[in-house]
Amino acid sequence: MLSPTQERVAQIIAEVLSLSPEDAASLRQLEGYKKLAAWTSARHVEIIVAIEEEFQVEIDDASILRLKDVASIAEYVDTHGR
Amino acid sequence: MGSYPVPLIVPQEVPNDETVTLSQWLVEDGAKVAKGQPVASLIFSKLNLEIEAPADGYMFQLSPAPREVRVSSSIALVNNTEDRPAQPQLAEQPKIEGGAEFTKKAEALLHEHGVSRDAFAGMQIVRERDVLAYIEQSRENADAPKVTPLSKAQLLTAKALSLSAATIPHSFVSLNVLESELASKLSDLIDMYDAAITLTDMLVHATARAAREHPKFVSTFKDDGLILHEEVNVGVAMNLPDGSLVVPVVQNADTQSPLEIASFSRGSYKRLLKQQLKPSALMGGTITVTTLTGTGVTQILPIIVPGQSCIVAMADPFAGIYTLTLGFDHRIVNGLDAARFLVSIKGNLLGA
Repeated sequence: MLSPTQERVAQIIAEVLSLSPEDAASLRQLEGYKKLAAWTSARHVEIIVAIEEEFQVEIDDASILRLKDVASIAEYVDTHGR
Repeated sequence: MGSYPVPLIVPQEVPNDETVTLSQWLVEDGAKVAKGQPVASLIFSKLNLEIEAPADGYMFQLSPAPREVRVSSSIALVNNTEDRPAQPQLAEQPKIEGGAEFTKKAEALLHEHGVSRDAFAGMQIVRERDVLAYIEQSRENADAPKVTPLSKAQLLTAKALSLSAATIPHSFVSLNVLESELASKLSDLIDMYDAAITLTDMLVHATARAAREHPKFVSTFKDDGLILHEEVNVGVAMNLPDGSLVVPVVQNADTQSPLEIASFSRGSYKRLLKQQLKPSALMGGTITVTTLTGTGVTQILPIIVPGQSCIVAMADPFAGIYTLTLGFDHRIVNGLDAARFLVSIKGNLLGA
């Protein structure tokens, strides 16, 4: 069961990556950067920018690299978001 | 001595002519003329006529030739001094209210083709042939290729690459890297740092460390030698979604870990997307890495950034093999040195 933040993060990632329903479902199993071919480094940053805009949060450079799946991104947003 | 210009008037030689063609000036603008000297050639509807200077002095033209001019208008001034008469003398020319006059046939053509009267601004009389010429010219312009302007960023890229292509004799060497070996190494790094490291980050790191051992690959060519750069500052080519190319520079990349390089690269790309990257982040590069992974192409023959000696490139694997390419300035190094440098980069990729 995903939290509301995790649900919204998964939606944003699926939108940015234009994921198929199957791949979008895999996001819900909290898999991420290392598992999905569409999740390239450039797309990773596009996800980060979309998350920053959605949740009004600034993600520092070092953290960008460690937010590799729905769970880690949602946790960051819950911790640092407004 | 005061100035006393005398106008040269277009005579009414043919009763119903409102305009005539000033076909040719017979003397230069500002030339000394004598009263009675033929100075201009006019074409009326039924005759050609040369008209004479109305006075001794210096003649200054008020109209170019050939040109339609109105009967009774001034087409030149003959001054008693060599000085061109003051501009207000032009006011003596008959004015045409409301701009150009159109013949009936010209008027009909305007309506037929939807041509604006403004297209003939500055003309006194507009005839059928003037409108036809304008329509023909408009058709030619419509057939001309449309020029789409380049973005400011692309213009800068174009300028740099033109300079590079024009001044640097490029040569290339390539070698193969097994995809499985590289993927294994990348996976290790991702696990070790618990961070989203990429092949590009690995390549920047491997290139920087190899360059430290091969100083000629971090140099600038001068006519009488090389400037060897102290710092290995690696430019990382980044393609933005709109297709533009930007190259942020990892300063002293040979002293940074893959994690630090990755952090800089991802942060730079984020600031590029948000249009917040400072120009200073693009300065000081001494060597460049460019990749096109995830695109489907399997080899790049890259262009060296002006002021640098080489560029390292990699794209997608083909049949389980990556092609790693070094583009180098052949004035600075030869193929053997280039091969050794590239082998050194590969060693760092798989061993670092």
